Amino acid sequence: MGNAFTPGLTISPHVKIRKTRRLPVKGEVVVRAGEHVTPDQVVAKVDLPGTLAVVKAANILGCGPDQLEKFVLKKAGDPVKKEELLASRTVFFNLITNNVTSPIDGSLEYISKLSGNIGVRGMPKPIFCHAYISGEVVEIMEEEGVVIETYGALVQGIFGVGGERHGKLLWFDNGRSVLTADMLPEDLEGKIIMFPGKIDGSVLYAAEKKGLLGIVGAGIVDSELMGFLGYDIGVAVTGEEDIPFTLVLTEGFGDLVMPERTAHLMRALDGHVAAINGATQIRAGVIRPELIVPGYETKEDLHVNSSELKPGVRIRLIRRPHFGEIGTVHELIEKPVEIATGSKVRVLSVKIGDKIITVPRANVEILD
Amino acid sequence: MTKDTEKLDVMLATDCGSTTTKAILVVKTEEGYRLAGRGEAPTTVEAPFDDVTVGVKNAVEELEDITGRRLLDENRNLICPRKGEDGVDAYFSTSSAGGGLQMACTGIVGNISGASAERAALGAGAIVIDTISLDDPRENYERIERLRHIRPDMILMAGGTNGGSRRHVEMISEIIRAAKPQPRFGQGFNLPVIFSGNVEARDVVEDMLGGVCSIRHVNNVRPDLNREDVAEARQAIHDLFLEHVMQQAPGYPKLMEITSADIMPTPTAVGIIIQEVAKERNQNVLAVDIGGATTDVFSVFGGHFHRTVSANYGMSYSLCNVMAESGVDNILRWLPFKFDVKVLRDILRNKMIRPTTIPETKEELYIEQAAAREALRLSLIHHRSLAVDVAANVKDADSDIGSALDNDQKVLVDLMKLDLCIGSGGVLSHAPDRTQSALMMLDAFQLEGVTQLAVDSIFMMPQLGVMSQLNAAAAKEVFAKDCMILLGTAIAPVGTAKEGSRVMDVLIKSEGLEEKITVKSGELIRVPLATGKKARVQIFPSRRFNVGAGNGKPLEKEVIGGCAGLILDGRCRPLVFDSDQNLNAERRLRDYKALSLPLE
Repeated sequence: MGNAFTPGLTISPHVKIRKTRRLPVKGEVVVRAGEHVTPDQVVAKVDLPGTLAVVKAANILGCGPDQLEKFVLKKAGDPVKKEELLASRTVFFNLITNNVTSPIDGSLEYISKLSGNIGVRGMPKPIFCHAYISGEVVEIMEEEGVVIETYGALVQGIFGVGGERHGKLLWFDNGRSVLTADMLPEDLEGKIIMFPGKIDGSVLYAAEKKGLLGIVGAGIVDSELMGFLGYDIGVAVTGEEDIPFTLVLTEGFGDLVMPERTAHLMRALDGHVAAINGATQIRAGVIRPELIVPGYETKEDLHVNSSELKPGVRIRLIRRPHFGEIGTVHELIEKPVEIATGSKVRVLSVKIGDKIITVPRANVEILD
Repeated sequence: MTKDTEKLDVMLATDCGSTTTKAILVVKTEEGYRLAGRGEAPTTVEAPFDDVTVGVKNAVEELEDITGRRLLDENRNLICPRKGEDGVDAYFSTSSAGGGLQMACTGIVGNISGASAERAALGAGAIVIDTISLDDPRENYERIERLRHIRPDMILMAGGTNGGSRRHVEMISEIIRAAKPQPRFGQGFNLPVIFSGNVEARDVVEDMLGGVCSIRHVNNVRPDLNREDVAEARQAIHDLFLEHVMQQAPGYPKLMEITSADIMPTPTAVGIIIQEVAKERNQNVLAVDIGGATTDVFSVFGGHFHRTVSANYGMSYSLCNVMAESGVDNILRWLPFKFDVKVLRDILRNKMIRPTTIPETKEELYIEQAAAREALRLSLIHHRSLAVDVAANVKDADSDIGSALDNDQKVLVDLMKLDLCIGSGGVLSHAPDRTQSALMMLDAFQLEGVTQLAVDSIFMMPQLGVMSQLNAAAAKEVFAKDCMILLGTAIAPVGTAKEGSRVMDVLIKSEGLEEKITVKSGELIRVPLATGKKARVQIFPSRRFNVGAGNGKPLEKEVIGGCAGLILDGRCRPLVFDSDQNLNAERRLRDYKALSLPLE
């Protein structure tokens, strides 16, 4: 393939952001196109059908399935309450009465002549779809959801856990490369803390106690994160973890620091209100965790991701033994070169400080 | 579109994978059909393209650059049929884009009708996300929630022998009705349900699911307990794949218009090729395709074909699931050096989040290959649990769930009877040294007896499989000449003995030369035998070891050489591991040195 490198993630102070907010099944959209919405606002809702409870009515009544209908006191579609009588049969010279009652609140869905069962559908469960970010509704998908648009800052992470939240951003940089629990400032409740280095596992436990809503850091040691969660994340689909905060990693796993450009932007975002989501999916239809500050504007030059590798472009190396190092492309070497593993691959040379090294093109990420 | 096979001299085939679309060009030359070139490009089923044909054309363009042959016209449309030297006579495609064909199965008893439904779906190229049966340990509400959550492309519903239970079919129908699962692609159409259970319970299914699902009735996959009939169900899956799933996937209606034969799910096409190979050579074959997200295993034993997909074992997206399921110690045990567990975990996680990166050092290469051994090992365990002979010793009727649970089905995959093991997928096809691929398969599967090893050179089995629909001769020829790379033959007796004691003597006769080698317990020996060269071997195992003829009984066979030559494996079966990782590292280091695999 022509472009064998991984494109960088979006780190931008001002960019158009569109979010599709869709119900899991068809329902009702409750906002109009052009309307300005806030993060907590409901934009669409649906009543999910309740679960089906099956009552073995014919068995209880002591009749054949084909006789059931004449003992049933309700018809399909009727609302029923828990313990309400559904069917009744008096036998043995009117001395014994067998009753069938509803196990749940809901509505009678069917009476089966084949099995002799009665199905009662539970009360519908309302599902609400919130706006998540503030912005303008630019598209309505009938019965499905909406598209919300805003301009603002966007930082895409590489991996995250925890779902959608929003809170006030707090930049914290004490000059250390690792953030530990004892370094955390007071008054963190409802905030999202951003740190340019590695997050120590102790911070996760402290975050829970201090009411932090979000943590954004460069890296974490995998075994510390999994230890906190209490299980190993297997398949890389996250966002549904039952934890009280959201974690977004911008670089990956291990001792890592953010590139200056990312740290610079985050520093500038201190004090703003942001939406954060740790949901990650690494596969076709990739989803990256994110931090969004709607409405953020800056007078600084806007950085735009280049999609082309060429001499002079700043890149980060994303594989050991140079993982995390940043440099500039020195030369794109055309012919495949044999690397230390014995594989012949397309490479480039990169200038890091005053040294020049050769690395596979597949193992670099464009920063500029 | 029908084609005259005789005139198919230039053929294009693409495999539209989840991340990459691979195109190959096959041309008839003086040496017969040969691979002319291969191009690839990112698959474009996602935004901003939302059209699979964009990626197909990009891959074909790269093929044009490589082969120098014009394949697209000025409007970038494929030239088919051929105009002189330009274009192709036929175009074929397989697809696993968008996560492939994802199905749910249902049955009354999990390891009877549920397992038959699963085998039918897997054989049709699907990924089975879940199989719901009345005897699985879940409560009904959990089954309903699960069906709602997974959003399959379709459901294959089995259960009840013909003339048997209707009651249980209704119970399963109730679960599906309650769930009202929504299809993964597209909204506003009913989910396809194929009913392949008791033919006398079709009215029950219509009664319960009519209006909620789009129902198609086919032959019972388990008409009686001792028989399985999956052909019609597989055909229905294939038809619905084309009619529903492909029609909803971005750009596929356009792609279907330009292909010369039906688009196939990628694993179906690989299955065709594997069956052809087994039939032509009259051999038992095991083939594996290890991808980033999934690992497919195919086997043909005694003429019985089985295919399974382990949806969450793979080398990038699913790498950490391999770690979670096998345990990190089981990955460490394959390394020829000591390594810190925490760092190993971080390396595997970083590979998961940046799946396109490649190892730059031997250390990281061997870590990935160690993880691959576990992915392959777990996938084979999964495969063996499903590749069974259903006729063996089933007790009672499906209608009585409890009494049918004790059935003892015969596992078909007997490694001692395996003749040929084929590896495919990046970690096996693109290993820098082919001997590494041989050792990965030998270790992961713990191969037994005498087994020939091979890899797919550039992963083109899917394209050849779909091509064989219209030109089987061409597909076979290209497979033999350009696709299958012979790695050599492994001889691995089954048994255990104290380290250093004799396992077997092997007398090797080739081109008038004779050599006798004694193999000791714990030892691995590589004997050079060039690709395609044949040798006659007489194997004399010690009395505790079996190489195929029974404990201590000699065996004579013809073996074929390859890149890794002839590998004599005296490391006992099962392989010996220690709780002390240092000891394991020493043993693996010995293996690597024996096969001349460099560590620096």
